[in-house]
Amino acid sequence: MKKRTYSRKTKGQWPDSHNTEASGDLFEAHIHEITQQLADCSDVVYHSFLAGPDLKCMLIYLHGMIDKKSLQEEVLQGILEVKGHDPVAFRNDLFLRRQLPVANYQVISVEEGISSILEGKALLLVEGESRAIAFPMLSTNKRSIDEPANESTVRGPRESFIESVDVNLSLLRKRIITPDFKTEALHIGRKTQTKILICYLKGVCKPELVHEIKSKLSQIDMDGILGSSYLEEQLDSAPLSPFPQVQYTERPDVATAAILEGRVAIIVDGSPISLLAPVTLFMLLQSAEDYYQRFIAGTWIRWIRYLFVFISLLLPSVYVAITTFHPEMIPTKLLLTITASREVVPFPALIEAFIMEISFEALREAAVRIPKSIGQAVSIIGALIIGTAAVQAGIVSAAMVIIVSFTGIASFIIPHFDLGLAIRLLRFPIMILAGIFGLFGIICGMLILYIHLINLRPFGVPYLAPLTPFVKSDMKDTLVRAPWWMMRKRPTLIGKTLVRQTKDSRKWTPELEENGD
Amino acid sequence: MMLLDKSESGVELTLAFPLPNRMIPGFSGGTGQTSGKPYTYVTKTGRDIGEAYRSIQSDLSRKITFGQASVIVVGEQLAQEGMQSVLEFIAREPRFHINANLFVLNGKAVDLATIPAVFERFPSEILLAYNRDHVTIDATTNDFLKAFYYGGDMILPRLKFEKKKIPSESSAIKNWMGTDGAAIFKQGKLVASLNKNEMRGALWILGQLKDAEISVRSHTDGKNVNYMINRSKTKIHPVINGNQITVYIRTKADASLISCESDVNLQDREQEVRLEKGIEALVEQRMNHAIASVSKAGSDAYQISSYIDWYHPEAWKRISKNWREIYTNQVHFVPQADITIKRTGSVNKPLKIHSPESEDAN
Repeated sequence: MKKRTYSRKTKGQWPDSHNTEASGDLFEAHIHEITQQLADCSDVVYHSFLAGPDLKCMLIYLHGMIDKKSLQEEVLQGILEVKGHDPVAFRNDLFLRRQLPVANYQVISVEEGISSILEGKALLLVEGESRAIAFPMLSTNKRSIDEPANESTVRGPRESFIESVDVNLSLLRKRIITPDFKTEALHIGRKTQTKILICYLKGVCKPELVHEIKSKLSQIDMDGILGSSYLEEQLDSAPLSPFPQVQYTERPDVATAAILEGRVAIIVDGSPISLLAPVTLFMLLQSAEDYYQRFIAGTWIRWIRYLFVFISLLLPSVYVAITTFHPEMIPTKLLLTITASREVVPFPALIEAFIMEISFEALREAAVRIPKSIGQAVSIIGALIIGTAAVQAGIVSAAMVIIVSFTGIASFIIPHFDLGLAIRLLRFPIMILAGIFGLFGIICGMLILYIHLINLRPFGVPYLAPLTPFVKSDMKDTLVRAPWWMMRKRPTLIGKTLVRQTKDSRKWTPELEENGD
Repeated sequence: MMLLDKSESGVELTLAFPLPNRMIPGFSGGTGQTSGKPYTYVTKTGRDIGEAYRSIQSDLSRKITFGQASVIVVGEQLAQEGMQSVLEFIAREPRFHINANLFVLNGKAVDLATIPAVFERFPSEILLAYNRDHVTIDATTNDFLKAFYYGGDMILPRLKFEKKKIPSESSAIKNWMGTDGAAIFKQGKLVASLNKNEMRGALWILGQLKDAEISVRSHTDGKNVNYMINRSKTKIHPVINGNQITVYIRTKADASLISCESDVNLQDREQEVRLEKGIEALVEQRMNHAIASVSKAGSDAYQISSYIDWYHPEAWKRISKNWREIYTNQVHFVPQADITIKRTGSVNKPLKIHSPESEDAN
């Protein structure tokens, strides 16, 4: 475990322990040093008492971060119960033989003591001893484990990560019960010293991947890491691309599944969102729900999702291109309806599309911040009145309103919010290309997009795997959701070993067919 | 819709346009009849189609696109002069749907502008529906262009007008459009026509029949038994024996009973077979009439040449030089119909009045 260090502005005088005659001075000096470092911190408590053979002790801790009950019962009571007539024996009992009934307390130097106080440990200083004891007593208020806010499922488990990294790790630990499940810790951020865990399954995960992640993360030199998205930008291999190269989730079962496939999960203290690396485009289009339903339903919903990804990206552009440049491609009746509805609109199709799309984006952004009490009324106003009134006033055509709302719905189908955002952004340049060059412009735009996606290789894994490069055995989880008894191998580009389960996990079926019938 | 006529200086082109400003939904303005119809026609003459088209465009405030033109009607005189110029223009225009339907009209095509559109919004929809429902021959530009490679012989549907008073329309007598047989082309020029019955036979040969009604006389008492034929499929197969070319036209169809005046026992399979043979004889007769009229005009309107090319390419290479002569003299057609009676409707026995006096042990 990497030791925590912090930079202090003033270097204090740390007296050494050789001077036993001035042991009282040593004690005072230590306390003085600590008091100076932590001046103006009103929540520091200095609890001095006499223990054992009347040795002066000082317990220093932060007021709101300590479990008072255990402090009193375990630490104070424990110290007061240690029999000691001899100071040296007393100190030995405490420091060497560790007689106090507190689990995992550490003997540290007083320099490290200050950071341990700030971490939520109680520091015990004893007269005559140059070292200090740090009791891990951290107890802060945590949110309870709740339903995931953004990734709900119908049939899956309803637990979600919370902000405490220890609780999150316990959620993973209770699911993966093997000694190969490794969790390495890093502390990043100069002022926040955020604890970050890198979790992976040794033997399945590629060691180069873990090594790359660790080296990228250790190069971060920021003041603070407040959420996992700060790390995400560091881990991106193409930071200027709109597409996310790291997946995030707040569900422990999704993280577990990723770890079992040979990917790495990164848990950040203070954020309920864990990161999963590496990721391909098709993983971002999967949702946990696919795996809890039966495979026919899962496959069907997946196909609808793929269709709507294209609709979300291309529908307004195709409409603009066809009505402006290629009216011969649609049936006559449809064309007449569209033309009649566009007859009164003063803007060309591209401008009209832009107005509607930008209004929709504004509506979406505003909806995030509307207080719940007026949310309902405003949505009714927005939809019915503004939409209908705009059509009747002749500012936009009815067909455009339909297209924009359909596109908006389509963009919410994408399970991964970042990917949905990327596609929303990309819709605008493609719309401009469609308005200038027609279908040819759309095709050119899609080609450029495709070339970009092919070149994306987060952590060495091609972004469009398993479609290109084509890996036949991985296709079972991409276009369809093959039933579990058919998915025998792990994804090849990520994990190291291939076979996941026995060859024929439905061995019992032929016997049934012989008996039944 | 594109209407083409011959004029003194060349071609008279009439284009039909829908008027979107009269079709705005949600406006309480014109609902159609009072403020005017939602379509109009513009006519101009020119040396050829291109020149006429440009002079129409120079009058209009909107840009003409041929992308939605799905019907082309050619006047009789222009058809007699030759369809080459028409098809040349259509084939070159990239936006033209090459499966646009072709029709020939008795008289001048521009008279089509006067017909009322009673059931549909636009007159072109009426013509498209003729094709969709197979009431007449379905001929597209594509077919005619293919025929150009084999001599330019083709069969096209004909339209005619009737002066009638239509009850739902306001003013007095209007032109009521109907189908009227077919037009036979030889080397791209109109040479003959088929009347309505012969045209139905041509539909059998071309395999474009949707349903047909046939009455056959029962062999028991000579009364009519009426059948409706659906799902007909035709296969044309030429067989070459030395110099003799025999073209077998095999048709398979299903027949359903519509009504029966005779008292033949329809449950008996043998009787049914005899009725089937009666139907087949009638069908073959219709086909023979159609073939005879076409052969008399000396035109290979059914594209037999292409069938021979497909089935016997080496023989075709030999024959193609004197094809026209061989066609008129040596080709022998054998139509063969195979009809199966499938359904007798909801009732088994013919409906008879059972008088209560003559009730025996029934």
